Amino acid sequence: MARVLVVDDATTVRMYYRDVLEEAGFTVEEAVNGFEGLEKAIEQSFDLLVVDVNMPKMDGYAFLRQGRAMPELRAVPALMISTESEPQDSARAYAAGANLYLVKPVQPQTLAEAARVMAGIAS
Amino acid sequence: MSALPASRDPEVTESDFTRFRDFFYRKTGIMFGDNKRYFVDKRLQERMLAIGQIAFRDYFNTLRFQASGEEFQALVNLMTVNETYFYREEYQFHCLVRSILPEIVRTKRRGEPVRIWSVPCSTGEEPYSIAFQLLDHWADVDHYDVEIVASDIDTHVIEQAKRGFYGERSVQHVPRTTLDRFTRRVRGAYEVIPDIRDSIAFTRVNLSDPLSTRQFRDFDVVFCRNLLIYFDDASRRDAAQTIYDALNPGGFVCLGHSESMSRISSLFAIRKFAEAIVYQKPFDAES
Amino acid sequence: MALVRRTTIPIPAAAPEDPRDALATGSAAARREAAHRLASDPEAVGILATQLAREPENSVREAILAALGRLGTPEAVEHLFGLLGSEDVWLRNAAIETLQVMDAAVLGALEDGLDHSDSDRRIFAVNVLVSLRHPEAASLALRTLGRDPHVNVCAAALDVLAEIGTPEMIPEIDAAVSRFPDEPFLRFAAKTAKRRIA
Repeated sequence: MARVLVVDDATTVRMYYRDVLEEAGFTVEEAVNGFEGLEKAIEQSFDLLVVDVNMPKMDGYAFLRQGRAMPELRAVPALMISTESEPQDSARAYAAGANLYLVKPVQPQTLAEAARVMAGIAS
Repeated sequence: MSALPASRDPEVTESDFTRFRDFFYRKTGIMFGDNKRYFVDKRLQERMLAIGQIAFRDYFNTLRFQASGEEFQALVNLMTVNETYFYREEYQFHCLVRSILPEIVRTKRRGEPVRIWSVPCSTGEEPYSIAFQLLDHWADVDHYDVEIVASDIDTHVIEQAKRGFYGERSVQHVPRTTLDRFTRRVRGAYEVIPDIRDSIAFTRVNLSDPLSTRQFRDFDVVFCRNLLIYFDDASRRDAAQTIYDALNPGGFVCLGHSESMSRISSLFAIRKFAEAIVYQKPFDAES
Repeated sequence: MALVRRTTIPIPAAAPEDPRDALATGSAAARREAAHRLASDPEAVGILATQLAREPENSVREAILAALGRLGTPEAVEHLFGLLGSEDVWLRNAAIETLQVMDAAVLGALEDGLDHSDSDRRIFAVNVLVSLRHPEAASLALRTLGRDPHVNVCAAALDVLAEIGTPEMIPEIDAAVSRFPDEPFLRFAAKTAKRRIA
């Protein structure tokens, strides 16, 4: 089963993504910030990253920048989802290493479809 | 008038459990699965009884809002096994001698000492374990001067540590040959030999007071295990600053196995070695 | 044997410099120490803020933020709230973490922050509530949930309430969420919060 790492500091957001992504056929692992995300990525392998921007200790951009420099995360597709909707926000996300940027709140179908396409799972 | 409840046992419902679990995870990085429900409930109930808060909501408010963080500390203590003994979490000492020190000495100049800080050292089991492991297992031990500094906030435990007396139980994981080499039997106990006791500098420190820690500098490795998990967010941040200041660029921090730097500080980088995950002060940090 | 003990622990040289000078011109270690020393000088908020704005080293920025947090004066709080509008994501999030541990000192400015015209700023203000140790935290989150027009601000408020809300708040949560009938995430978060606090 495809494995996704959800990195977001909000408990309810992580639970929501877990529901949607499990329904879409993923096994879900969670981290509350980028630092914990890197720790988990060192110990387990993932097919997809779903990453928030604003988080304590390590934000989503820093997570992606550092992750892209690590063999474990170099090539894992990353979906960044944030509340920030200015054009420069998505530009920053792509510069940090995101493959797709979505603005919260994300509809469940959108999240499920994006996740499956990015992880290469046929619908 | 309604009857009094038959029992005043504190109750933890399923939603109480999940609320507590998410809070505890956010604070510590420790995640209890559903299969740990009994373990967690028992300990919550024990603390609720101990401080006389029978309703979960009252107890949770104390945990969440208490300014001193005292109750949070007491609960963490119950939820984690915090026993100190020789060779506890031995894989980290393996990591020290097999991976960390070989990397550290690559950049050492001739005659430059290797410095290791054990904090909190409690009654001495950790700094002595480090000494035993280095002498037994680090191939380069004779080529470098190693300085071990052991510190605690509590002067009573420091005095005990200096004496170096331990019971059978405390040393049960130490191989017999090592005990024969580095301890002598005194009235059924084990006394660390003077050569080793005298080689360790025991000092008092308050990690959360960065201004009082100026003499702790130039360390290559800091063992800070099973301490920061008890601290509140502000004290963790201060302690992380102290450790950062104490380390050389490229120096390492080892935390306890249930502690994650992701709840403590963003100043360090993650390093994965074959034996353990540890944290490193960046080489390019401006000193 | 190769274990050696220094016969004396070197006594730290007394910090000679005025921390105000060291903060601007010292090495990174000296700047960090200067920030620690200035944490007890309520007059130092301005100079700490000035250095923070130009400081390149995160370790020094951490020390400055901790100093501002420890000072806890209204001026320090105001400056920290101002940082929530920074384009620098590291600084923004570190400022939120600092405000979270300042407890009662942040309340007044926090209420203003919850009414800011920019929804992102309001989300950051709600994020301060996540760890705030103050009995008002839950009612501030509830008030925000009840009146904020932006779905993401309300979602952030629900995340706070899932931890520290109380059963009496459930009718208000229901009413607030009914303002957003087409947002499945908000419904989910409300259901979760209610289940936790019931």
